[in-house]
Amino acid sequence: MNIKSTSREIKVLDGNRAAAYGAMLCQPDVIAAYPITPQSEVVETLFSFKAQGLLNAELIEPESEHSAMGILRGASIAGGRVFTATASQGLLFMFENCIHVATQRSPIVMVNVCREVAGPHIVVSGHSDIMMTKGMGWIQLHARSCQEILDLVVMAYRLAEDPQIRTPVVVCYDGWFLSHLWEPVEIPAREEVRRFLPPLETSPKVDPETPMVLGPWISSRPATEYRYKQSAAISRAKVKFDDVDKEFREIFGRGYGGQIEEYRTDGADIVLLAMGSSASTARVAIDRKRDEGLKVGLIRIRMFRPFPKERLVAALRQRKAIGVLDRSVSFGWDCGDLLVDVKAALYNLGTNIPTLNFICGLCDSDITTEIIEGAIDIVGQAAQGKPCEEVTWLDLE
Amino acid sequence: MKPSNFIRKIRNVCPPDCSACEEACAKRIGKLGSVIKANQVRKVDVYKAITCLQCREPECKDACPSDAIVKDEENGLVRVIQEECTGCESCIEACPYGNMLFNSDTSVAFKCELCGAEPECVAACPYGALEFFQGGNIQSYLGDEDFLSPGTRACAGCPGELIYRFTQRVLGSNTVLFGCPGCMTILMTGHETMAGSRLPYVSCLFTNVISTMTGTYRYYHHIGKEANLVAFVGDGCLADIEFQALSAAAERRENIVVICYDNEGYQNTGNQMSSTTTFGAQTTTSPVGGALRGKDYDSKYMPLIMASHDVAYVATASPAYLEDYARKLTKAMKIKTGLSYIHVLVPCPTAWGFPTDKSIDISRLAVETNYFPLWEYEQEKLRLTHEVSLPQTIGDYVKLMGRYRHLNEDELQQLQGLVDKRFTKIKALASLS
Repeated sequence: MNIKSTSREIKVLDGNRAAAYGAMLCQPDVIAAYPITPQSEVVETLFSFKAQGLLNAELIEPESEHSAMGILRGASIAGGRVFTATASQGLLFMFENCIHVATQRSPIVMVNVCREVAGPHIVVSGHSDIMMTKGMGWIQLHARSCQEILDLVVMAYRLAEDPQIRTPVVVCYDGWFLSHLWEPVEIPAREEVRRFLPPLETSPKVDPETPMVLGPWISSRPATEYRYKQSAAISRAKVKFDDVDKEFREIFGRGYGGQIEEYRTDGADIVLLAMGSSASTARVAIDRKRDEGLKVGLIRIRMFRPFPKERLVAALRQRKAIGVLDRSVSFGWDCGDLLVDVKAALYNLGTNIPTLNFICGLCDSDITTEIIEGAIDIVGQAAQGKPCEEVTWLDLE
Repeated sequence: MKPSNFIRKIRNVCPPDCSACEEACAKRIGKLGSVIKANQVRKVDVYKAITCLQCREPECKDACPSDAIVKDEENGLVRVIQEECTGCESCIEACPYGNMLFNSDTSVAFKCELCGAEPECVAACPYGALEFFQGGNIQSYLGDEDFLSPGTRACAGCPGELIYRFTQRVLGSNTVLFGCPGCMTILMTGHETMAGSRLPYVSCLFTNVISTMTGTYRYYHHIGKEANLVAFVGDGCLADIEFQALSAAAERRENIVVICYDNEGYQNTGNQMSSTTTFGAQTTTSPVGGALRGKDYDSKYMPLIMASHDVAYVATASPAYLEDYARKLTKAMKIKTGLSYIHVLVPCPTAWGFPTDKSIDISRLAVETNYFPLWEYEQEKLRLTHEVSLPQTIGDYVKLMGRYRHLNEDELQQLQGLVDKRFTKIKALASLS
């Protein structure tokens, strides 16, 4: 392993190593991470970078994810750039600290390797972990390839550290399907990353020379104001993400479309919505259906929090039917988590576009091109006005 | 002005008819008698020695019309200049404690002048009831600035406030304090734009004090910055919910100072039991009724658990032995090889059920009964920093508190057994050094 200062290089990496490369290029001051399947290679790779002298950071393997996030909090309030990685139970265990650093507006970047949460004993891919923590006040980004994992980590710092945003960012990718998928990945040159991501400047910092209380008791009105400002800051990340994506393209030659990525949506009557690695598979299915003459396109949600309401509504306005692939279940709604958000976003359109939900890929199930093609066929029928079940569970026994 | 030296009574153990202090004093002074009084009031069963307190603002001095009484700048000693004294006896009337006496032979006032800093009475007391307190010794550990904001919202008589204020004066300005919800939060966080202290303070969750400190320490280390990073948190945090992170930080040798103010329960939320609550103690979650008799198992002995981590420094401390605490805290601040842990027993008048003026007495009794021995552990050696020559029984300690009111003789014996067992262990470890 090596990294070039001035020229790019292509390496074959899995998603976890791509995340570690992304983090290393951003030169964090403090990294604290606790190993957990299927994320452990992120931690291992970072330790190996440190061992080889490629990473000048304080590197800590704490006793838990909870402490990992606490350590990032302490380093961040003192002015440091920080990084961690987790998955599933680890994310749940650090949950209260995640909320704490978000309300405190710490510019932390983390990767979450999406894995089902336990019960029964399952160490498998799925979005249930990240969906259960969607309200924790973080910006949540989803990758669909190993290259995008690396790129998103770099972009994430730009969002997190933006003075108008100052909110932690979690970069998500599917456990196993991406964490352990090996692909060619272009490693940017250190100099390029430095140009894209300037050194972190935060203020105020915890410092004996400028005494202050971090986290005083405050009464309800300023506390409400505080919540309002946090909410507004998170929302500002939407447009900023589009800008950052463009800027990234200018420097690195690749872009992804910001909050959402559209694929063959021109003139599409029906559109499939997906998030994560299934969006890559869906492209193949879309190509096949287009070859059959079906006017179908794909929209990939790259930014799940804040929810890209405006851009999504604009992109869905003229469609005849929508299909939403969900890799998690929103208990109590009897559908997927993404569907709930999509339908809430579409409400203001005033028109009732048939929107169907396909719950698939839970607990490591493959989302194959065939499954997606089958889903497209059902959405196609809905577009023709045929009555369809709103929610379909695929892979049921 | 520097603090005074004076003789103080540290134990309520004077038996009836003992006058060893008086006799030693009289021997020194000669025919005038003694300037210490074994002040025995049999009617109310009070037996205690009393002598001049070397007041900070002596009323005797103020009352003297001929400026014959002076207070030394250096050691606080209040002296009568014999040549200047006119024998008017104004000072004798002025002293509220009756500690100014009159030599009718020479017609001058006289008083305790501390035997040239080696008081005979202290040496003579067979019960260790007296102590020659040298205020200057503590002063040498303290910075000039009192960082804590004026006023306090702590309960009346809370020695936690004393310890927190004192801690800050020892630490000085190159310090960042870390705390979490607990009794002292009300002093630490301040409110709205008003700070609790002029030292920087980081408000943490109950569960992320140690990890937050670790992060700040690691970042400071990364950029080459040095500061005292100090946690001031309670037993409910450190011994219970934060313990996992504390143990891990100790193992990793994080260079931080962790101070546990132990009031043996979740006192900020109304006296629920914690893992340092003693056997038999009544709390709201270890109540006393027909079927329950307080906490029915012994407490976790945190300082020894921390010493078992082989960290750089572990010590116990008490509000009644501030010089001992100041020395330990100063030591902890200077350590660069890992975590320091200081466990301070902070009696809680509100929850433990004792009068608000008894906090220091109870703090001292905890030590004098060997219930809470004072020791330090460094370089794999444990050392008692205050040897108790004639320990009092645990009964003397618990009888002062409402939380033990229900204890019967058997339970008291059981508690004494637990105290003895723990102290035997400490003595055994100390003997290895």
